[in-house]
Amino acid sequence: MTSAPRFEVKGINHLALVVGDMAETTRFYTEILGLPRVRSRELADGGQQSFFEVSDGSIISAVWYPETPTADPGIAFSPFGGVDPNTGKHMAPPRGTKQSAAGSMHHLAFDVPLEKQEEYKERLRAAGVPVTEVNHHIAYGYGKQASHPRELPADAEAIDEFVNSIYFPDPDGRTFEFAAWTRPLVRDDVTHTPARAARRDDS
Amino acid sequence: MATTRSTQYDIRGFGHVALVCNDMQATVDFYEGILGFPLVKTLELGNQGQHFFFEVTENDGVAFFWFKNVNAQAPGIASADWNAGESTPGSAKGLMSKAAVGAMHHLSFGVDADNLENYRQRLVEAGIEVTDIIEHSDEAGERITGFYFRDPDGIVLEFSAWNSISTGSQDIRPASASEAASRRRDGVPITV
Repeated sequence: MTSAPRFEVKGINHLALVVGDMAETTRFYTEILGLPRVRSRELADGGQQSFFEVSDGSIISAVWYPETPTADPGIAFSPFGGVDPNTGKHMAPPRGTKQSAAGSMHHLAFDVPLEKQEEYKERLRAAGVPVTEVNHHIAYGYGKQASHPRELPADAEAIDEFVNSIYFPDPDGRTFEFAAWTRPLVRDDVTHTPARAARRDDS
Repeated sequence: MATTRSTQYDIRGFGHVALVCNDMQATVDFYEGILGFPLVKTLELGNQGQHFFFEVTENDGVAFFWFKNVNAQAPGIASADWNAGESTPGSAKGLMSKAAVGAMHHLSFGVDADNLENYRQRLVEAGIEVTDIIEHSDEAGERITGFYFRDPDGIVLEFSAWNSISTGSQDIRPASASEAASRRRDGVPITV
């Protein structure tokens, strides 16, 4: 039975991101990602704000401050670690920076069509952006992971795939992603007991 | 299905804004239990932690990581600081706080303007601290109306409604990183 939504949320209205260089940020969103810059203004403290429209009604609000703490990878965000030249996989970022702090944004994924992933990877690369190969995030064998079907052993069991991803950096080194669901999510996709803070102390 | 505004890629929304929490149960209680966003996918990340996905709309979602080893919350660095400053008629507690370069400052969910009063009241009844409803306006006119609250990790959230988005208003030259230094030196905003 479907119940009425508690709040009629129409989507993400805006995501406010702190940027280090508004000129680079503007170039990235308008020229690379092709998003219109629909609004810009000066802030009272000498800062700036620009809105880049992602989809109807959804905006990235980039905020630039004249004075602010510098980028703090591993606390404020999980940095893009680069593309492994041999495998095309996302390399681990510098030690200690992969897991950003509680209360932070770890990374940002945009929703794109599944059938476009390979093409978008090539087009981002042509635009000079370092992009990983498509990661299929295939779970198999009760706890194992493969990033591409060709990595699966012939006798792999319990194969499941639900999202495909390519990863690339934004001008501040954040991890950005194009994500595509590969199948509808079902009841069995929710199976794990949410971890309590205290679980960390158990082991 | 949302329509992209990109001229380059069919970006239909924020598939998932991936955030980090301290307590996944508290996060589920809040995002599913109070905000009503269904939990649609759960993953265990080996022995490192968990990754849960909540659906906001067909094209927008919020995801959370729970890490076995996690850095403590860093308000004002890793996100806006709810406790920075006091609310004023034109602004909200927390909104005036800065965050580090690379951080998400806050996350805003879109609702109809007609629902703002009612939704604010329902969050109050659920025991959530909320700000007043604020109309963000400037010389160019009112833009967005909304109120702020926070999640269990202090992430500043908003329910907001667009009044208008006008293209090209107050179009200003984007500031480069090097300008930050000169603005700091001068101590005053430079005219662009």
